[in-house]
Amino acid sequence: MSGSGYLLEVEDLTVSFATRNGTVLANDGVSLNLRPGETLGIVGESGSGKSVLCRAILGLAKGKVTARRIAFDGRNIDEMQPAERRRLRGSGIAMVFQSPMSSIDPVWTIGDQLVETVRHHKAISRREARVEAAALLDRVGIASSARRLDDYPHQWSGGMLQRAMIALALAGNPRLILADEPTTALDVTIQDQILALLMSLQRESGMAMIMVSHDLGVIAETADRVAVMYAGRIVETADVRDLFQEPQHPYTAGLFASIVAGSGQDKMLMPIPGQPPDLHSLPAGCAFAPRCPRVRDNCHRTVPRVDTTVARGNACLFPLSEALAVEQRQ
Amino acid sequence: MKTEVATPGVLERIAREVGSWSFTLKLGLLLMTIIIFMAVFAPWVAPFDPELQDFDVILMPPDLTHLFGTDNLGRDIFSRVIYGARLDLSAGFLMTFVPMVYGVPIGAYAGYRGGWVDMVVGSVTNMAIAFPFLVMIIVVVAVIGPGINAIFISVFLLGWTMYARLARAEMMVERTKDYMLAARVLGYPTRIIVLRHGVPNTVASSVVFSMSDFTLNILLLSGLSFIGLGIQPPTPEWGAMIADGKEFILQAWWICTMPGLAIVLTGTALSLIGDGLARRLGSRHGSAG
Repeated sequence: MSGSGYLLEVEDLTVSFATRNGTVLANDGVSLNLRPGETLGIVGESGSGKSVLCRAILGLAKGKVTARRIAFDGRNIDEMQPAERRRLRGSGIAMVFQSPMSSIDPVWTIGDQLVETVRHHKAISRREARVEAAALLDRVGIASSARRLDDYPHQWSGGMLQRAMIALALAGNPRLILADEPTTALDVTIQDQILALLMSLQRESGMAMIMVSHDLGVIAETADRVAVMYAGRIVETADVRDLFQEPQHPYTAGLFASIVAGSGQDKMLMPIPGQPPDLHSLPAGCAFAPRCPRVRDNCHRTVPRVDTTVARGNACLFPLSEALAVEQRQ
Repeated sequence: MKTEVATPGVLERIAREVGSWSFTLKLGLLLMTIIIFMAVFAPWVAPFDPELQDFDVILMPPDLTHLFGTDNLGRDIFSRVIYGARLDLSAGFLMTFVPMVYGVPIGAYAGYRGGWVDMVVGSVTNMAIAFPFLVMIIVVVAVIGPGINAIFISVFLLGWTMYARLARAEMMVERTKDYMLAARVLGYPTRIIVLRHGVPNTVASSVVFSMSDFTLNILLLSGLSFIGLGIQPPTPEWGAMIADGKEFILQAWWICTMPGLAIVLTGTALSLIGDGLARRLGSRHGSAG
């Protein structure tokens, strides 16, 4: 364990893609920390850089990646040898993807792939690995797991495949799971089951988790702490309860105002006006300024940064006071 | 519990697999099985020694003793066609599947890696495809003399490129899919990703193409033997037999026709298998979505 006590530290991560129309800043100065066993929710709309962030942590982002420091368990990922980095994937950090249907190889049976992965992490015989594969499927709640090992992925439903993907991720006993919108492609009834499964597995094994979602409900259910992303930057970070009780950044407040609360209150939905900015050409100041109801002159000049070293931080020059937040929600 | 973990009935799996085959595939496989059976058991199936010259029965038309007739040296054409199948099938097989074995991984790797690897492989395949094959084989024949080895060398040098192309094109599509990324996230090295997950997903079009390629290679071997660059007489080979018979085509049509029909039949069987496989492999990929 490193001195800082953090399992994962990301400092000032920037990911950019060179495209025909110029450079796209997918992540701009992202910093975050994660303690062992903790769940960090990352919320933001499509294109805000959530998935790119996950891939960058694994060293698999496509574009140009720069960071002052990405460290897992106190060790800088940049300085690792390729073989060491491969070992980190799977056995240190695992990932669960958005669309289970396409993230499992269609030509091998579920059992083949589990056995392959188990044996990749442990030097055991095929037969032993098969027993272990069945045990993994048991753990993720697949009934009569031993008989289903010889099924092909196309014989399974999306929810079952997502369970299989989770089983694959568990095979290496990872200490951190990156869940990249793990429920987005699933039926609503299945979504809760998968989330509950992830959380119970996390309790069992003490894994840390990064739960990426655009769904505030998912975040509320799973996360201890939340980072809100907008246009490739983290704009607010807080304890999940604090964030939901009093959002400080106008964008976060806007997100809450634009979701359907199921309680039957006569509350008007308040969509955030305008569009997310074009990542080719971010506005000079705060990226949210063009859509912000509280915008002032200064907002167009300086880029506010969030301080991630404190428990509660926001990247806003004029954050909402508690009173205003209450007013906004009424 | 323990017994359940063992692999379930292999026979049942095979039966289910065969049940999903189309009529085309079954017919093609049946024909091919018969042809291969006759070739393998040629000494028992063929009624005569293929090189036995019997001057009492020169240029005999087909009858019950000599099913396909006899040639100008009194050799039994039916026996020669059967023995010829041994050579044509095994040579065609090697000419098709040896290049496939390295062509597909090369193409899959190029498609997976992209960048300069892809550019090099792409340039080499384009050059090889543009290169006239006959010129290649004439060069090789000039160096090591005519015969099957010259054909093998030329085909092994050039034949892999079509497979590399097909696999590369499919890999370009496959590599963007999440399961490729998932494999990397699980920490697999590139070698495993390309060979275990890339090749099986990109090989379908190559397998279908290999059936046409097999036919083309048999035709190539026959064609080269026909013009004297391939198998040398008196070894029975379909193309060489057709070449032998061309002087007698007006008096004895069967000398050319019978080996010709053997080529047609083999080609038909392979094409049927190719069509059937295209449908079979296509449908599995379709239902996987």
